Amino acid sequence: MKKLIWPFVILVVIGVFGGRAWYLHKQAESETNVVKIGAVLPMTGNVPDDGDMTNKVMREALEEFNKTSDVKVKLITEDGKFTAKDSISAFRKLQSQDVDIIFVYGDVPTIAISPISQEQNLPIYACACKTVKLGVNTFPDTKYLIDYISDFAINDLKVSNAAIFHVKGPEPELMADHFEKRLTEKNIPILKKQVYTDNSSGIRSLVNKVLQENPEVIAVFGWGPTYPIVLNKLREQGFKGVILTDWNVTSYRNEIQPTEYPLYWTDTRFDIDSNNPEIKSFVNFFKQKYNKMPSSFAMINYISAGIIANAIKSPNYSVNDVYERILHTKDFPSILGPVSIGEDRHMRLPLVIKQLQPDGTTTVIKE
Amino acid sequence: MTLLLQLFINGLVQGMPLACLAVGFGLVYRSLKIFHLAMGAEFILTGYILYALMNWFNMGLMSAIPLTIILAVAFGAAIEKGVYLPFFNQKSSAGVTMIASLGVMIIVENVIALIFGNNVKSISTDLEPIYLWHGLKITRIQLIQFLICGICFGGLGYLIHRSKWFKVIWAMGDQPKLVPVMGLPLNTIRLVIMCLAAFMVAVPSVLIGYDVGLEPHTGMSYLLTASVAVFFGGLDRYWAWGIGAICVAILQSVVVWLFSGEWISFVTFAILVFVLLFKPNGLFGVRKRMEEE
Repeated sequence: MKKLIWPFVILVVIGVFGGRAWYLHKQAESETNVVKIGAVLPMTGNVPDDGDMTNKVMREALEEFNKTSDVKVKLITEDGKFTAKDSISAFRKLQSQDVDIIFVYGDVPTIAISPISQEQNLPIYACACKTVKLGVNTFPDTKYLIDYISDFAINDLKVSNAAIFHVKGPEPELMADHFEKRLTEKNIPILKKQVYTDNSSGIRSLVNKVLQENPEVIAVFGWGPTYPIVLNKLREQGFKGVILTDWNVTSYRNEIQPTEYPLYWTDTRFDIDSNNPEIKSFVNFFKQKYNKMPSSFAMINYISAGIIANAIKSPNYSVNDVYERILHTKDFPSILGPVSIGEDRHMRLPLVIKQLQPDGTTTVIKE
Repeated sequence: MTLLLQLFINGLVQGMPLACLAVGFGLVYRSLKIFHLAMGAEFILTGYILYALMNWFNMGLMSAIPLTIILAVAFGAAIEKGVYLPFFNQKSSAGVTMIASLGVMIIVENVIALIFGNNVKSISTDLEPIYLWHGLKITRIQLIQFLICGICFGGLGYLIHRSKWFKVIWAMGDQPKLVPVMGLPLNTIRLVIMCLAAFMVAVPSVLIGYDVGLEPHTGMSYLLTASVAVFFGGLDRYWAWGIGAICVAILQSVVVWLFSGEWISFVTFAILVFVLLFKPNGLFGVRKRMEEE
């Protein structure tokens, strides 16, 4: 009996190690056809809803892709908490898991991650306004967006003067400066350019200061808790002219009081009340599955995941050329129309001008 | 000139809710010697209670407000019973109690953000009726804020100077150790102070929430402005808190005339630094003899 113990032990050891080696080999084999996409999303912190929604829509898009593709895509999400520090650690964690490209949500995380991504030669796909050093942006370039609304003011509304009211921050400042430049080029004076902050206590006085100039049009660029307050206070304090703004307005629609006076903004074709069958179907699907309405950012991030997956689709897929393929995306068929990546590495998607109606609904007034 | 007058009126109106908040902070700071950071939690929680009652329980505004204020006062009492009193009984230092107070503030702020989200919530998005007088504008909600907060501030000030029980509350700030010596129920007086403070925070919270909406992270900003008002006016005079609040609010509003909105916070804290450096007892503060310190 004693003679059998050692051969038995050796067999068990061989079995355990052999089994483990076989398992690892099989796992490696199965993962050769799996492309990993990392995502630095704000799952906690200031905007957890945005992170959660982006995570959901990206998984939906990639799940759809995996159904028909030989190359499978796996999304690995890390919480960046919408802060620079945590986003950088999330980036590092994803990098250690050999992801091929990293999706980043928000300006602050993008600004923090962008130089490291360039240093590490790991491209990012940023849902942000700020242009990244190595990668692409989901948002159309700010100037492209502002050109659209300023052209509308100049050519369609034929405004003779305007005021600008914007929240403190690099992106709204860029919007305000570009809007000012476009109008002054056409000799349309900017009567007042006023900055506001996220402190609601001084908003009424700032509104009074802007209205003192009696502008025909007020362009409001911003986001955050005071943004809808500014829009409401302008009307409350008796402004009856045109308000122009950007697509952030859609995130605050429930907080904005519609009036008989016009409020216009640049937007994509996405709208939760849209009659477009594809958009309608997406909204209904999302509402049924997650019991909430998708935001326009969710829609854009859904398309972004589709563009990344499309770049991976090639049977000759290699890690090195996924970024190049994304850069050459042209007329990608999306729910919102054909999407391309421009030379500025920002997404180009069809824009429209929308108006908030007195009953709270929105209508597209210019395609 | 009209703009300057308009900004002055805006500041004056804004000063009244701030005066109530200053009372909420000052009463606790002066009588209980606690830097009442949890006041920020009381401020935001009150607004969200009103929002929840109206949106989850479909209550009307007028019926929801009294219940909101009762719940807010109960929350103030809970902070005293659950946090401040145990620390007081353990003879913990003011710093430890302040950190506990900060903890309450952070917990409440995060729980609210978790339940309601970080986006702004409006109690009402209806446009307020506006009254015009020689080009000057005032909205209905501004008038209501001014009147109701003025009544609350004035009423409590009257009681503090006239009623025996309220005089005890004020006297406790001068000689806290005499209260048990005189056979007065210290714990009950502490509870009353916390409830009164919570009431004085709840009233402006409801009115400000109605005016500009709710956001989970605004508590600290209002708390700090209220504390500046107390130190600016002078800690030992009740009416000085109100004057301090109105001065701070007017300065915050008028600064917009000369500069931009980003200077509002700068002005608030510049006032605080200036007062602490040159008038440590506040503008109307009482200079104490050395043995009183």
